[in-house]
Order: sequence, then structure tokens, then C-alpha cells
Amino acid sequence: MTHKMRFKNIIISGISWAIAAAVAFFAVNLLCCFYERPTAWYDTPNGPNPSGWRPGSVLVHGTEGYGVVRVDENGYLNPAGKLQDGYVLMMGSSHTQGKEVPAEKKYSARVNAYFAEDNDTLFAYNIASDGNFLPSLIRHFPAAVQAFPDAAVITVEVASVDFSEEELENALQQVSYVAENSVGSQYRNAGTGARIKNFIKESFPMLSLIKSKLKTAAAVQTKAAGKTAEISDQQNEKQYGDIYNQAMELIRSETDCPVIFIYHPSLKLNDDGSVNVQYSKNWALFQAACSDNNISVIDMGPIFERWYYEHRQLPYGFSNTTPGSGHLNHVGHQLIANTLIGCLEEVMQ
Amino acid sequence: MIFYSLPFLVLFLASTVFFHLAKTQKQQHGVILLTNILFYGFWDVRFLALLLGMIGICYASGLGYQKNKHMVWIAIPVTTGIAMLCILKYYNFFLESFCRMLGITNGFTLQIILPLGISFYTFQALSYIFDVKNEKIPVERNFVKLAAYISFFPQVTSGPIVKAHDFLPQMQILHRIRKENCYKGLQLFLLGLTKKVVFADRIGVAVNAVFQTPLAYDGISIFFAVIGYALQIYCDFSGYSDMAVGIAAIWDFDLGKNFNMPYLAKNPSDFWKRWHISLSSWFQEYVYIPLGGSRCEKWKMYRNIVITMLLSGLWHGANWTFVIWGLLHGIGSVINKMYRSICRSRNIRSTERLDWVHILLNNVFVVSLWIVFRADSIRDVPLFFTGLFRQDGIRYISVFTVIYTALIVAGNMIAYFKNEKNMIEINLNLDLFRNKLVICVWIFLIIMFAYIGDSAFIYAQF
Repeated sequence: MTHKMRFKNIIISGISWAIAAAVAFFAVNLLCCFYERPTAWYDTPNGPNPSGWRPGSVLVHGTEGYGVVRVDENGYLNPAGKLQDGYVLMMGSSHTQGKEVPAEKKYSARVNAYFAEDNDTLFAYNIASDGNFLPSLIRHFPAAVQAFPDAAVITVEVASVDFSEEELENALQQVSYVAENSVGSQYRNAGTGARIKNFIKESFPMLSLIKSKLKTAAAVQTKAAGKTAEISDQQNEKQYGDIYNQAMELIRSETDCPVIFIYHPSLKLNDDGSVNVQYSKNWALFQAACSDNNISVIDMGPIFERWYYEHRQLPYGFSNTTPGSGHLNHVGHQLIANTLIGCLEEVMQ
Repeated sequence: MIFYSLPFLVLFLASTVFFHLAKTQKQQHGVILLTNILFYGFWDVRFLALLLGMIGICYASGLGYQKNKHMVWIAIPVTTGIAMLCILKYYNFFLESFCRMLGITNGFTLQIILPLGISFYTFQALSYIFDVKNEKIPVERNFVKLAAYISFFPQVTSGPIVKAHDFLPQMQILHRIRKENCYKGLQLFLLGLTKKVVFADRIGVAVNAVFQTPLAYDGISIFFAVIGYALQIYCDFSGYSDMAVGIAAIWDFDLGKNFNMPYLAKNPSDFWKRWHISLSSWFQEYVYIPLGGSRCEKWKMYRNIVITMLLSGLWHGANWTFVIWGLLHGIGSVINKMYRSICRSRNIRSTERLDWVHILLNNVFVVSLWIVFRADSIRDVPLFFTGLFRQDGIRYISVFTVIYTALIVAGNMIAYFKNEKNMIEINLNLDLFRNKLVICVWIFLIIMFAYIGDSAFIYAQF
């Protein structure tokens, strides 16, 4: 074989590998659409929360539990419907979003099913977003109240109240709502570049999956190398108490309607099969601050614990992950919904 | 440095170029040794000295033995190797057991980091010495060549253990990177990678959850965790072996088959002919046969089996769980030999139906013993066996365990019916477009379903 022919063969082989890779990518990408398909999202620094999904898109989440959900016109995960008078505004993180469970099983949907006047109206409006933890919830609270002024009750879901002083102090610099900054407005006014970017993200979920795996791998390596920053154990109790108090004062000053914090700590399985509720270190300080400012708090810890001993079911974890870890599962959502329904009935009387 | 990491990819590609460009065998041996040093040193450079020291002792002893055939030259490396294992791997275990037995306080425990792959390279080094003594191979006068063999990077950390008489002759020829070898190696590597990052690591997460707090789970969950562990350890270890064999195949080396459908074994002896074949054959050749093997009185043969299996158990780790596991495998093999002897005397012939019964019973035996193997301590073992009958507890059946169990059972069925219970080798001709497509889809599926997390190779800790 001459040198020229060999070169030609290498080129042909290279091209056929490239075509095979492209075809394979499209085939697996198609499968990925049914397994894990994130949708485009918009940052909303002056919105009710830090970000929202592209209105009208369909989100598929199969790496933890399994859920398929359509995004509403405001960028949140709610069924279609008109808000009824005196609705409940539900703020929170990915736990409240409930991407991991079927849409009808998340606690906002259960509360809605219990209270809604008919099938076309919404009693509970879920505006939760990924990573929207306590500091972010405090920071965006005024914007949420301004964006949804007709809410009769506001619930705020938190899984932990332990954050650094710096994070909490920054959260006290609250933001006001800017309508142009909302997801709906950004989506309508998006330029061609942003639309193309969104199209690629939603059409090629494989790319997002690869990106997320690389990110996880880097995080695992960082953890293995012991580079994870840890919040100091030595904390000034009075200072924390003051910050929580200021935060709750700010929240209380924004609205006259009842505000209910839903706190759901994790459970730790012990060797003997018993469980311990893993409360945040500053839980008592946080609870006191809420109480001092006429803000209700639901502590899901004892409810989770009791349910475990009665039914041997944990509120977190899925059959494709591990029990007790990760996001709220359908049991966790159901328990929160049951508790919240009781609480809302009391509040509304 | 794990096989599916960027540093390894860079090292392997660069080494492969140099390996291919090397014009003489000597140069190739140099490239191999350098790659081995970089590969092993990347993990912890301090333990390179230990590895090179062991190689040096074997090399010098070989030369010494060639001069006067004195047994001291065999005793030195064997004692050194065993002593090294005893100190680094078993010292704390023996000491703690001894102190516990006498009820005295133990104040002499050492803080030792177990050098990666010590059990594997020590056995390769001893294989060289035994083969020289048994005159299966000539004494190796070239240090680089011997060092390249003992520290061969694809298998230095987790096997397979390749015997000197199988590997050193392969170093007599000038190797070339051929397309066919690359195709075969790539497919073996992908098979191993799938077993490891898609199957084993994913199942491992579910298994660990149950094994950490067995008292919290009900019997069905424990049953699935035990089944899951049997698959996890198989996929983890055979996955590593496949990757190692595949990498070596690209460099035109044959490391042999380390697994051959072990869960289709009919009895414990058959299982060990299919599971970690390289270790089993090492023990057979260098322990069982020198003890007398099967060509002796029956009770002696049984004794030899039990001793060999006991040592094999101890090889796996410094814990009573491994010792008991090995011992029970030995006892199981002996009972099976007795049973077969009775069958022969009564002229009971094997039928296909009986075959299936044997496979099922053997799997019950093997999988039950995996509980002993996996348990943190002997005290934990009864928790699992009693837990299998517990009705109260968390019900957790991992979907991955169920799906992958179904896939592995299907694979075993195909091997049983289509290939006389032997593994079906995947060797697609990658010159064809459709096969290229298959490989590309396979790679993307691995990416899609790979578990990314904390997931060390189980056998690397041995």
C-alpha cells in the first residue's frame, strides 16, 4: 500500500468514525430526552426567586426519582390554571419544586387538590427554584410579595438554617421586584442568541448531562482532596440570633398575611435501625426569631420520625438513589402536605 | 491513577507512541518500565521503592540461584515477600487478634498505609522465583525486563496475576501496535468500563446503603442487597480485569482470561476455575500441587483444598471475615468432592436439569458466602442472615439492581445456551460502519448511565 493510499484510508476511516459518533450522539440524545432533560432557565436577580425555567418547556428528571413536568408561563412548575382568590404562595428550594416525584404527588399539588375550588383554579402557587435556600429566600422575599400581592398565606420551605454569617448578612440586602426582570418578560424579549442557546440546551440534553457529570466528578475530586470549605464550628450565638431576628423582622414588615416556615431536617439511620433527626445547629435560634416576629414554623422532624417508626418509610430518597438521602420523596411531600393542610385550615379560620 | 481518568489517558497515549516507535525489544522494555514507574508513582511515589526493592531482591536471587542452585536464593525472596505482606498487610490484624485472645491491651498497632497492589505484585514476583526453581523459565539476566514484568502497569494494582512463565516469553518478541489489537483492546476496555462505572458503582451505592445499617431494612431489601453485592463484586473486579486485559491487548500482550461466567459454575471447584482465574491457578500451581494436590490419599487432598482456600481467603484481606470465607469455600469444595465421589460410585449421571439444580445450589452457596466476605466483622454476619427473614423495616429495592441483575442473568443464559457456559467474547470488526456506530452508541450510553462518585475498585484494597 502506497503512502498516499494509506493516508486516504486514514481520512476515510476518520470521517466514518466522525459520522458514526454524530449518529450515535443523536440516538443516545433522543433517549436522554426521556431520562434527563433540563430546560433553559433565566436568572432573575430582581425576581421572586433567583431563577426560573423557560415558560412552556417540558422538564424531565430521571437521575433522582422520576418526574416529567411542564413549566408555566411564569417559569415555575405549576399546573395550568387561574389563581383563586386568597391563594397560598409557596416559596422554597428544589425540595418544594418536587421535580423528583410525579407532579400530582408534590406537596403544593396535594394542598391544591385539597383546597382548590375546582379543577381549573389554583389554591397553591409554587414558585420554588433550585438552590433557593434560606439566604436567598430572605433576600428575594420582598420581590415575591410584590410580584404576588394577592397571596393570602406565604409558606417558605427550608431544609437547613445553618449558613455562614456572611451569607446571612448579605441576605439582609433584600431586592425589590422589577417586572422587566421576570422570567416571562425575559423570555418574550430574548434575543436570537439567547433563543439559540436555549434551543441547543433543550434539544441536546446529553450535553447538559455530560456537563453535570464533569461538574460532579470535579466536586468528588475536590472532596477527596479535602478542599471543601467548612463553616466554622465556633460561632457567635448572639450574633446569629441577631441576624435571624433582623431577617424575620424584614420578612414580617413586608406583608400582613400569615407566613409559615416549613422546616424539614434530614434523618440519620443508626446501626440499630433507629433514626435521629438531624437538626441544624442554629435551629433553636431560628425558631426563636420566627416566634418573636409572629412567624409560624412547622418542624417536620418529629413528624418524619414518628412516621418512620410507624411505617418504616423515610421522607427522602428514591429507588434509583438511596433511602434517606437527597430530595423529598413522595412520602416526604405527603407528610408536609398533610401537616400544611392542617396548619392552613387553622390559619384560614 | 485510574484507567478512566485524564492523566491515565495522557500517559497511555504518550507511552503507546513511544512503545510503537521503539525499534528494539530492549527499548520497548524501557518504555514499559518507565510507564510502570509513572503509573505507580502517580499514586504514591514512596511505595515505588518497596516495589523496586522487591524486584531487586527477586532479580539478585535469580542470578544467585543460577550460580549454585542453593535453596537460600529461593528462600530469601519468598521470605521477603511474605514478610512484607505480613508486616504491611497482616501485622495489625494478627496483633489485634492475639491481644484479644489473651485479653490484653494492645499498644503496638502501627499506622500503616497498605501499598497499592502489594498482594498482586508480590505474587507475580514469587511466581518468577518459583518458575525459575521449577525450571519453567530461565533466570532473567535483564533487570529492566524483569521489572517491566513484575510492575506491568495494567495489572500491577488489581491483577490479573500473570505467572512469569506466561508473561516473560511474551517479552522476547518485538511488539507492534496493530489495528486488530486496538479494536480488541478497545472493546474489552469498554466492556470493563461498563461493568465498573455503569453496573458495579451504581449497584454499589444501593448495596452500601443496606450493608451500613442492615437492622433498618426488611428481608426483601436485604435479599436484593446481597444479590446486588454478588453482582457488584463480579462487575467491579471482572470490569477491572477486562480493562487491564484490553489495555495490555493494545500493546500486544495477552494477560489471559480472569473471569469466565462464574455464576454458571456447578460447584465450588468449578467456581474457582471461573472466578479470579489467575489467583486460583496461582494457588493451584504454587500451593495446592506442592502440598500434594489430588494425587494422594483422599483426606490429604481434602486437607490440601482447605489449606489452599484458607490462604486464598487470607490473601484477600486482614480480617477474620476473609479467613472464614476462605475456610468455608474450602469446606464447601471438600463436601462437593465427596458428593461427586458418591455420585460416581453410584453411577449417577449429570442431566441438564440436574445441571441447573447444581448451578442454583452453588449460587446459593457462593452468594451466601459473599455476605461473610462483605461484612465488616464476623459479628455482623448473623445480622444479615436473620435479616433475610425480617418483615419489619424499610423496603428498598434499587431499580438499578433489578435492571442490571436482569441484564446479567440474560448474559449468563446466552453464554449457557450459545457458548457452552463460556463467556462470549466481543470482537467486532471496527472497519465496518455499523460496528463503529455500535461502539459510539456504547460509549455515549456509558457516559449517560455512568455513576460518578466515590467508587474505588474493591480488589485494589487487597
